[in-house]
Amino acid sequence: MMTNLFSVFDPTSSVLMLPLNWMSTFLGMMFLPMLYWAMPSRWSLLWTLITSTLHKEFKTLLGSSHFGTTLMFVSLFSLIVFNNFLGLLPYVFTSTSHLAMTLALALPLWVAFMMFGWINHTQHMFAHLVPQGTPGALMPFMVLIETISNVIRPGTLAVRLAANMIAGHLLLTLLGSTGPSLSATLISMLIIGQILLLILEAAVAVIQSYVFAVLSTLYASEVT
Amino acid sequence: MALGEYPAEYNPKVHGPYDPARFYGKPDTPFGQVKLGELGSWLGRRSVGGIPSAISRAWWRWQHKYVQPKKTGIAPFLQLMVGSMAFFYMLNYGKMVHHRNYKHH
Repeated sequence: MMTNLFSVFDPTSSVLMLPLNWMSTFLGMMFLPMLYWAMPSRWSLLWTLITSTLHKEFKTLLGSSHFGTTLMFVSLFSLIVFNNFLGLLPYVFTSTSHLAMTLALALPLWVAFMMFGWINHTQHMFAHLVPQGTPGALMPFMVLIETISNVIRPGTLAVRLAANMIAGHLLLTLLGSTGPSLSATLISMLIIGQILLLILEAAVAVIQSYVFAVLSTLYASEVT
Repeated sequence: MALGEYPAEYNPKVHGPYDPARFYGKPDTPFGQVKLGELGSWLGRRSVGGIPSAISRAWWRWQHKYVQPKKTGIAPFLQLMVGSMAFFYMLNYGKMVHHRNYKHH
């Protein structure tokens, strides 16, 4: 049983009270395949399959004139998916459940897009504030709404990811903490429920990272 | 030896293609064959700066055995997951050891 319900999210380790748990952010690097032989290994082939599918997807969103920009978004996806998925393992820290981490991913991206867009394509950015086919009388209102939706984008990107991760882990922790006081039949039902939740969380882990990457791609394509 | 450079003793004409799992320095008795009396001098010949290289060679030995072969299975993936769980368990042990007495607080 936890001393504090949120102690799973504590980055402080017991080694001199240093926040060493943040090292789990780099854990995904160990899972990336390293190429040594000319003939790729199975792992390498699998990873290449996943990333090339993603590259194709993002290229459709970005348009063909920006070849190479998909690299950043596929790397973003890989980082987030490894962090989310490995956080589901017992005792491994989920760094993407912290706003510090997700904001650090979302805010620089958004600020960079905005600075690039407003400095280099000012007319284009102003035009985007009014959707096509808006009645004339509604235009000032639409500009206000579009500006607000633009401004909250880094917030929504960051909070969506962090909240999804926190919600999943919290649910699993809460259900698990009722374990010691249950009878045998209830415990077996709890275990089945926990397994189903874990499968759901694994799916959410992958989906949320995909959503993050796709939305960043869309925001990038709007600017260019 | 700087990060990302070949070891000083590596010579492509003598050793062939570079293998990151291989030690290219002067051969020494393997640790399993060192006599107890010689342990002090054996440890004296090791250097603290060689620890990162040793970790890198160990990582590549594991890679050669489990990940690089053409037909691998799920084993390396599971090994990494169990290893990370064990590592973070060790890291957080001091925090968690108090949880077992929670109901008495």
